[in-house]
Amino acid sequence: MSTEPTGNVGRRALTPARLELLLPVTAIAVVLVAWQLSGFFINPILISTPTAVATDLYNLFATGTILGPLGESLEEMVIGGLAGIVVGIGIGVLMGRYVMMEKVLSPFVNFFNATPLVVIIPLVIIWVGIGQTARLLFVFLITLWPVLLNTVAGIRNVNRGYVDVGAAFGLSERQVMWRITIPAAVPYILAGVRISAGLAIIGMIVSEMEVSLTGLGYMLITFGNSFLTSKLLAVVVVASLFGVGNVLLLQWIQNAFFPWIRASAAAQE
Amino acid sequence: MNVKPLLEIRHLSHTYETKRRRVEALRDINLEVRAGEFMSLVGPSGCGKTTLLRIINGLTPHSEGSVVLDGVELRGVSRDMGFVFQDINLLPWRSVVRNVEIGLEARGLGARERRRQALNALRLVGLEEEAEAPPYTLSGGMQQRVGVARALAVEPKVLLMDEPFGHLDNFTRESLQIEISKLCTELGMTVVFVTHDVDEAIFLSDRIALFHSSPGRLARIIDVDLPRPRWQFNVRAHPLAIRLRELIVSELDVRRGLAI
Amino acid sequence: MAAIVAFLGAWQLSGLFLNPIFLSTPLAILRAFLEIVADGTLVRAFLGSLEEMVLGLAAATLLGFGLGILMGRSRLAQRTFEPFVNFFNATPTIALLPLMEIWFGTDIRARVAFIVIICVWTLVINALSGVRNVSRGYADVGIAFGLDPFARTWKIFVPAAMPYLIAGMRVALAQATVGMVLGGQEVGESGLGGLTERYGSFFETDHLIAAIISSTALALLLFGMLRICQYRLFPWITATAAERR
Repeated sequence: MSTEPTGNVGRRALTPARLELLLPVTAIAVVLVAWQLSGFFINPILISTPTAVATDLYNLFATGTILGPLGESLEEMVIGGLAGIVVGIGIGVLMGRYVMMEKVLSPFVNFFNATPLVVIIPLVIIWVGIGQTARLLFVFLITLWPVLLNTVAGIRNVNRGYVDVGAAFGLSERQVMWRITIPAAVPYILAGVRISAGLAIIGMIVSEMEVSLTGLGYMLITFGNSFLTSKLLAVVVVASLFGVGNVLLLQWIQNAFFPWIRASAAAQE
Repeated sequence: MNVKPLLEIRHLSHTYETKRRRVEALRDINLEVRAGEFMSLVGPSGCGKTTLLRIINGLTPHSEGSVVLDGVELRGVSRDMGFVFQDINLLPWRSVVRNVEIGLEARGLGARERRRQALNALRLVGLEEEAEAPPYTLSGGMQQRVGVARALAVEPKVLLMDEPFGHLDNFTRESLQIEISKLCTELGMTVVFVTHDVDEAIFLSDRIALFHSSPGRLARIIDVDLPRPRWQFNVRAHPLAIRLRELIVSELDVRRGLAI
Repeated sequence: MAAIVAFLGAWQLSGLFLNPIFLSTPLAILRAFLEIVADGTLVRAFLGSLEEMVLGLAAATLLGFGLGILMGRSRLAQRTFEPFVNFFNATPTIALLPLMEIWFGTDIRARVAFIVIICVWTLVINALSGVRNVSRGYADVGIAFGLDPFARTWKIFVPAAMPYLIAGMRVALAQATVGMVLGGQEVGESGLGGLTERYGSFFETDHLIAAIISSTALALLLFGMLRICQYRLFPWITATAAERR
């Protein structure tokens, strides 16, 4: 690790900063190479090889095989997820505003939140049969709780000082609720949305594996049953991209619409 | 000269209950504030001076007694007062000017009118340029000046300030003290100012009300007959100021802990 | 409290005009519950699920905290493993269930491995955060009193990172529960997951709901145990600090 003296411009310097970047890149490269080589002595059924996965990934898109299921999955996730988030925020606000509602609904909310919702799938099937309704309903149910709980927490934990401002300047209770309490709860709500959005993806895949085979879940099960590991992993990569895209999308939304969250949080540290 | 006071506090007491006991925060406070006067409430922590300020505003309801503004007894929050908070409390999701507008929103003014009055208020504290900025880009001192603008925007009869410079560093505090002094003199504003900083009180006030704690009681009121404007000389070195300081310190010291 | 009673009452009455297949009634569920407890089905399933959860969580904790602490203490380790951890953390690991079946077939190893692969990433990240965020002051105490880096890790950093570790365990627990149920439903018919699958396919709603409630009970039991451990072993952690993830 040497730093070049300024006299020798043009020679590449191995600065600590460069090393920081080099390390993960090297690690990834090493893993990929090892993975590829493993194909020679480990049955490719187990973990396949990067080239096989990459080829299949390309083919899945090139032949359009994956586009249909991808569209179905996306549709379920977005519709079910948005519905869950919107309803979750709505109920959360009501529970935050009206103490009576909170007291009444609390035990049910806590029960459903503790339940590993996957366990409800057979019940959902009994209710609405096997079909898109069931899948949408499941995604809706799974996204509902985190955002609801976070909304309630955000509203109850609103900074006393902000509420005082509203009260001191004569704002009515309704004005305080809508102009102060709810905006102040936004960081909590967004945290809940973040969790819920992640759960929407999981809900989507689970329902596609369990309720009725469609979309990405269908592809995963089918490839798995046929031991087509490279194709299976290719679909897993696509699912991962969903996950990554999710995180990035939410980060962008926060930075674009609520830039004050990071700043004021940092100030309060 | 018999000048009717602008603000009167009569036999004000306040007791509240916690899980463990009843706390008598204030006992029989009687106080008058004249129009255009700068009055400070000074006392050790816990003597209820902040509670009193909040009661005057109506933010905290009181158990007994009355608060009378301009001859009218106040019930609930008064729209004729502006409040400046120790924690500043600018709403982070609103721009500076939108923060200043908040008091005006309770008065049902139209958007353009609100904006006009808010910008006026910002002009008074010299922050018109920062109208559209988000609060987190401002320094602590600037944020509190916005807080003052917010209170002034409602064109209050009385300005209430709760240790407004408490969280700021020394240099910012001193410059803000001067700025407030100038501003309030210019506007002829009636001010009730809570602080535990004796020098700050002497610098700013026409009169100082001294409080004991547990329970909060008014000990005495002192006139500050120092010449104005006060920023043009070294107040701290002035003999009268020194005497006042000693007086206040001894007053609050000797009687502390003794029930009267 | 009154609301719950009212709710149960309404639920019971609904059985009069609603096909019990949909919601069943509290009494029928109670009856079903007692039945499967008596013949041992529920107990077997409950214990089976519990066993998988405990094995899975134990393995995930060892691996996850181990890697996380290593990454927290060694910049080298962090930079090396970070891309992989972040990638897998963003992946909906549920999607890897078919892969577990390919590797381990349809027995308990697949289900336990599934649980591990679901929740290990959260544990790594929380351990990493926890160790990284240990106050400089504590670290300095270790150095000042002559502890070597290894000792410092175990005597200072790990205890100090406890709030993060426990918060991570709470999330991992929730994730593991999902993995347990899903595994039980899909990979062989085992445990509580398997029960729900079976009752569902036979439209035995009353048994099904009893099984669902048992699953919730299992989850609550484990959360409760975690909380008790926290208060007993680490009483200095206030609830608020631990909630902050």
